[in-house]
Amino acid sequence: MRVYLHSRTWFLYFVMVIVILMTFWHPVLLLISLESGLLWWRILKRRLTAGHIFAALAIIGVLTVANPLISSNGATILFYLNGRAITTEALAYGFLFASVLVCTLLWCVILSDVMTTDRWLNVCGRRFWRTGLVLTMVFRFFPLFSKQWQKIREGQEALEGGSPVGLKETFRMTKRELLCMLTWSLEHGFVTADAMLARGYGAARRTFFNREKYGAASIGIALAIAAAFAAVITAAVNGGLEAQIYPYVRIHMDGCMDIVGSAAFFLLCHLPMISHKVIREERRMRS
Amino acid sequence: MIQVENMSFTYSGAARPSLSDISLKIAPGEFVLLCGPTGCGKSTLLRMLKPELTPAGERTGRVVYKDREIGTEDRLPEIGFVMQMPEQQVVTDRVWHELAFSLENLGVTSDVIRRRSAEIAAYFDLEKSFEKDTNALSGGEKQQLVVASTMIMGCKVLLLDEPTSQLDPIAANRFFLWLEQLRREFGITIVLAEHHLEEIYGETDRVIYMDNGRIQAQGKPAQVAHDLLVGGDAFSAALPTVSRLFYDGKSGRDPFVSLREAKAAPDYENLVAAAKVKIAGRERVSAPAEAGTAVSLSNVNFGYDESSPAVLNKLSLDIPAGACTAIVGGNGSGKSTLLKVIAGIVPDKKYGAGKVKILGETRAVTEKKKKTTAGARQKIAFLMQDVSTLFTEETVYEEIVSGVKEKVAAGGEGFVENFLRENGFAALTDHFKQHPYDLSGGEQQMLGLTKLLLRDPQILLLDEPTKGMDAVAKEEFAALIAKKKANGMTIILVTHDLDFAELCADYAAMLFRGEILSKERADRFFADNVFYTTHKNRALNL
Repeated sequence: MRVYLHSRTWFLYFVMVIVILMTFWHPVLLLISLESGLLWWRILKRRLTAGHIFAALAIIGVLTVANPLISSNGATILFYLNGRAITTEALAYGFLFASVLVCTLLWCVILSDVMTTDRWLNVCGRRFWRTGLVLTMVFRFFPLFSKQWQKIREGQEALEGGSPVGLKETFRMTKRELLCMLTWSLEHGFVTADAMLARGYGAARRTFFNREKYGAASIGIALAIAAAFAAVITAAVNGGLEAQIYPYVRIHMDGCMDIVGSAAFFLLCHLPMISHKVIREERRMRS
Repeated sequence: MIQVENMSFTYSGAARPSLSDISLKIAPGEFVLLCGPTGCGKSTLLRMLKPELTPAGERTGRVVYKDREIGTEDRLPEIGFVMQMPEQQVVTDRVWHELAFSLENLGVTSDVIRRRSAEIAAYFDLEKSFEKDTNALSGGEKQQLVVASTMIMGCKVLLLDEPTSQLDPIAANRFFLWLEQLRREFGITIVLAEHHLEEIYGETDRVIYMDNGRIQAQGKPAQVAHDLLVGGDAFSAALPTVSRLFYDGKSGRDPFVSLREAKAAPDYENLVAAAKVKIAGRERVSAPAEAGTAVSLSNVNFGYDESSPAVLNKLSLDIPAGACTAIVGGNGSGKSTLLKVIAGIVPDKKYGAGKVKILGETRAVTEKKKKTTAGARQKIAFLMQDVSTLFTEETVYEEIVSGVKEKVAAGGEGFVENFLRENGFAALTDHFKQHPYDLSGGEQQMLGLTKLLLRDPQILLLDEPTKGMDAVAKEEFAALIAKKKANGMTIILVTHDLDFAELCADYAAMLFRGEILSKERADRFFADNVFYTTHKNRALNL
């Protein structure tokens, strides 16, 4: 299959973005990641519901309030609660931590959406074909497992003439279901092993069916991702992108290195999007 | 192509041999049917022909493939092997990868895999599902995918071990038609072990009948049918309906093996008249007198997901007590859902309206039924399609007594054995120490039914109970249903197996697009239908 952007380029992209996001805790970087994350959300035809926004606000709200309750670090004391100092810095830390969490979650959703099982296989590639094979079998087994569990639950209820009443009964039923699942999984494994043997597994040195080829775009974008990542790191090493919370909140965004680092991260987050072909490919997969 | 010489085989630890002195030759392009009662050794014989899957045990004699003796160490991708369970044979999560998997194993390069998988997908009509998740395929589609990904290895011989036993009869027929096409177009050699012979029997070149690990008869299908009918072998019940219906044993003519052949006979009309006389005495006199209504549904709507259409639509149905009612209909007509609604086994995600009345107790269709309180007689027991979902114990005996230990203890010594004998499940007594999963499909059904019947339900719901049963077991099962009815049990049977439905149902109802279109006496129902009817009625329709 001819693909525009190779799975490994995608993988590199997500790793770089998420690593920076989780290491730097810088509000400007967070805003950039939020903006680009929401753009991806749109491109991937996901719907942003009130539930999503509520969940994000709830995480931020709870963590912002919770942090001062367990941490009294920080110099600006707002008031005392049960003899404990509640500080502006602790509130800010909670807020920042929650924001990093929300942004990381957002990017993880995008990652799981873009990285289909096929793409994971290609990331594993020829060298790690065993990992790839295990992955594809796990991807097949999980839905099968939950489907079978549902069937077993129904089968047991059908036998006993209804669903269990009371905690003790429910516990006994769940125990039986677990036993049933265990036997089924083992049996499933045996038959699958036979089926694999029947289809030539172990007959020769195994190859890896590589469906994707590296094109100029895949290599070019991968190089650009690496360069942008290097630029962010260089900026940070040279004193840029510093966000200090304790003892005082001090966010740097005025030096040359801050500007270079933020610009590089902005570029990194938007890199695959700058190509219409990437967007078209992703949207076609979801049509 | 394949030659087996004086082969005997005993599984390690087994007392008796599973195969005794087997000799046979299979020519290139031949379509061979291996048949025989459950446990006759046909699966073991097939596994002897595929070295990768040969079980551990003591083997004498030899197997020769293309003039070369093969041992258990050999790897022969040219010989394809397809098993019963479609679900368990699919290894990967994508259709394309399933095809590629076989070739990856053989060390084929990506370019060749790309071309061959495209080629095979085009031929097997898998283009549309090429990128699909394998979990989204139906049982029949999965089994076709398994064959396609076996064929992709360039196999010359296809061994199939009851490939349709987990499929409904319609999917099974489609699978056979497709197999026949494969043979016609590619001339591959097929050896098929099967107990459902109705459609495929007449299409094969040679039939090998096995019993007790030995080949008892082999030859052209008509010749073997003749031997079985003349010998009065119990297995002759598995022969196609036309073979049994029109055979008189006097005319010296071999039995017919397909409906086409029977209809082409010059004296077909006379044969039909004679057959009608022959079966007239055997027909059921009348349905039992109605003893009230056991289950009643009125204006029931039911669906699983708000965004998808309802599965049951304004359905109204009364099920008479003490009788057997068959509910028939195509795939997806809502048959299994109807049984689940009656049994009160409904998922969390559902919607619906209407009420179900069971033995005087009314419940909303969307309400889950709670277990009967201890001491009271269980109202409903339901045998679902996948009977293995009932098995939790290590041995067959423990499985039988699990959940009913008090009853078994109260029954005294020999209670279980007597119970099995009374219900025609005596065959299970030989397997008490085995694991339930080691039983054959038909025996697993027996075990499931035993568990259900030990709970002494007033209403028994059966969803495709004959799946995996051979013809003899089906006849015994029909007799059991008659006996339970006589004892006042109400039975609701959902099935695609119309011959079986006619054999044991008093009433038949047709479900179409979630609605009951008609309910009438079973004999009238099947006699009136032209397409949706039994093989017997098809043969007798002039």
